[in-house]
Amino acid sequence: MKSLLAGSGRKIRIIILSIFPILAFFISLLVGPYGVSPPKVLKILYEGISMAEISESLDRTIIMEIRLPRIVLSGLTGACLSVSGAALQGIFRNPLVDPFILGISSGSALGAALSIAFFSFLPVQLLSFLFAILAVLSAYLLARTQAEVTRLPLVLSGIVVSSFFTAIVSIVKFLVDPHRLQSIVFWLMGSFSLADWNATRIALVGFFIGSVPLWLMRWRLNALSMGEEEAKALGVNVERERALFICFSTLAVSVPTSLCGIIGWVGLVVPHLVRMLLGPDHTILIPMSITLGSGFMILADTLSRTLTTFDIPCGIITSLLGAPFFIYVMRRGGIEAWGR
Amino acid sequence: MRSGLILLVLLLQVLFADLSWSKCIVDTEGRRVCLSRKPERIVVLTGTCIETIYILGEIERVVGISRNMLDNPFYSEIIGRLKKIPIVAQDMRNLDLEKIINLKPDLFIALDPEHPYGLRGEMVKKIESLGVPLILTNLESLSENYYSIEILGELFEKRSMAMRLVEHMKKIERHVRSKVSKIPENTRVRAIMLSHRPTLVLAGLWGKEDIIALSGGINVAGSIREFITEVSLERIASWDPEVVTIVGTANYDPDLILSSPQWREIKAVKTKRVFKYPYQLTGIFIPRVPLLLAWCSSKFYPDLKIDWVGICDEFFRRFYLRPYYGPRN
Repeated sequence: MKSLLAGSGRKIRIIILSIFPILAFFISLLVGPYGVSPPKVLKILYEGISMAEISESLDRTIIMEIRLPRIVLSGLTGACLSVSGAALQGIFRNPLVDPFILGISSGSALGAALSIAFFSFLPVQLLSFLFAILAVLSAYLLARTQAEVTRLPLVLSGIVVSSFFTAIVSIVKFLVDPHRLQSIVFWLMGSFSLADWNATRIALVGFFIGSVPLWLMRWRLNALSMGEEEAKALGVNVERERALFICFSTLAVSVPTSLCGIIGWVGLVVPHLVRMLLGPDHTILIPMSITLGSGFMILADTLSRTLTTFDIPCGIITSLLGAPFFIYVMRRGGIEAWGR
Repeated sequence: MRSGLILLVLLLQVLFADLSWSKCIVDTEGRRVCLSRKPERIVVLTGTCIETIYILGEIERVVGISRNMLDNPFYSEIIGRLKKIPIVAQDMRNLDLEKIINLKPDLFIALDPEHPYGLRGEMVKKIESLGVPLILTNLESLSENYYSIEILGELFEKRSMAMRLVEHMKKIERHVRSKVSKIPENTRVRAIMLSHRPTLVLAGLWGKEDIIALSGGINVAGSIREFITEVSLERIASWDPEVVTIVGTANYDPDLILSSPQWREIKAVKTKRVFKYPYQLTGIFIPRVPLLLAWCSSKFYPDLKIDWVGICDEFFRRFYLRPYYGPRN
């Protein structure tokens, strides 16, 4: 393992991971159900970026208004989920933690389900975001005993809150008519089919207020991931730091989740793969999780919109790819990067 | 003495009438269902049938419904009694069998397991084991729609009323078909029907009996053999429909599509032919389906001057005893 992580091979891997989202971006931009030739795609992209005066056309609309925002949104979502997963795995010192451990997904799902089923005058995204925050806040407050929040109660209260919110989602699904039920089910499976520039702008805000602080604080994660006692010995205010990381991770995940639904596995698998390739140092793990996560999600969404005539929800693709991939990572010794 | 005799004769008539009453019908799924007495306590879980039963004037016999019928604003508005009928199921998949048994029904009407929202197969067996006659429907065509109405007319001995309804429906269908049949195949409108979100589309589960096809259009999503399915916006753009219709109960309006930059180069948006149909016409294979055909064809081919509002007015006055009260544009 050590040999894998050392020397020029490591640099090459960093370079590959860095350019991976760019490659994924161009692959995704060039393929789609509506045939636009690659030179024309690149010309439209160039004209779009350079703000050149160009006439409206269906080709341009497809590239600039449909394909491009969808790719950017999926990339941002992948980055947010992966960086959040990496940070939470670090602070909980647990390889099985994913970004939804504190109840974000069930909170988001409940908000979306309520909006679709009963409060259609309130945007799905707004309720989804608010309930995601509410879920994490509930988990955090439940875990708070004697003015201190420790790891195990936090994970357990996350599980409790998740179960509770999931039960309410089930009640909503039970009460709703079949057409609305179908909308809820599609939302729960996660999809970028409604991506547009507005959604992308909101995701970008989520990325900046959630993922960028995680990236800036990546040095401190190394101290936290050594364990509470060691971190305290180094002078780290463990509880405050942990609260900050949870806060930023929640923001990073809840914003894209509210926009495109629940997309699982990315936040679990990507940090593992990066850890396997480059080791547990968070100064590298965090930025490379961002790049690999965004590239992975872009490719997964490309498959979801091109494999069949209908749109396969991206959450299904990530689960189909993620589960076997996770087994592969484990067998290759990815878990060893944590130490036994 | 004489009055005593008359009473006896009347009593015997009633007794014999009840005893002699027995009927066997074949439901739309080809199942033979026999009833030994006229149904008085019916559990109905399908919107199509509750509407027909209401039109036939037999709603008083319904003792149990599914809750999702109340989600349909049209049923709540038209069938005043609906809210007073006990709810025995959430939908076809969630039945309270104990509640149903308590109601002592003598007839049960539900959707066939083959329908996308139909009963579960094991539930069919359970209901049959209770000895309650079970009529299953899975309407996939207008002819099955008419047949289901005729069955109910037969069961309630309201044949003439049922035939009046069917004949009126057929008259509207013929009218629409005669108008749209003049449109050459190669100039037929390419249309799409959007469901509860703009990327959920009505696909081609029913083939030629698809609402768009019956209205003289071509369903651009018709090649997908599903009821409703999610497609990408890019896919919709690649189909480039000339008309976009939105289901009446969706919580968004044509303005959302017309103002979106993602849709602006699609023909239907360029020509501002994006329409949401009135929720008063919402539903597939219900007694009002010919009204929806008239509405769709009038939007597909405005030159044909199909007076869908007049058609709705007449239909509503005849069968719902009130004028059509939805939007008229």
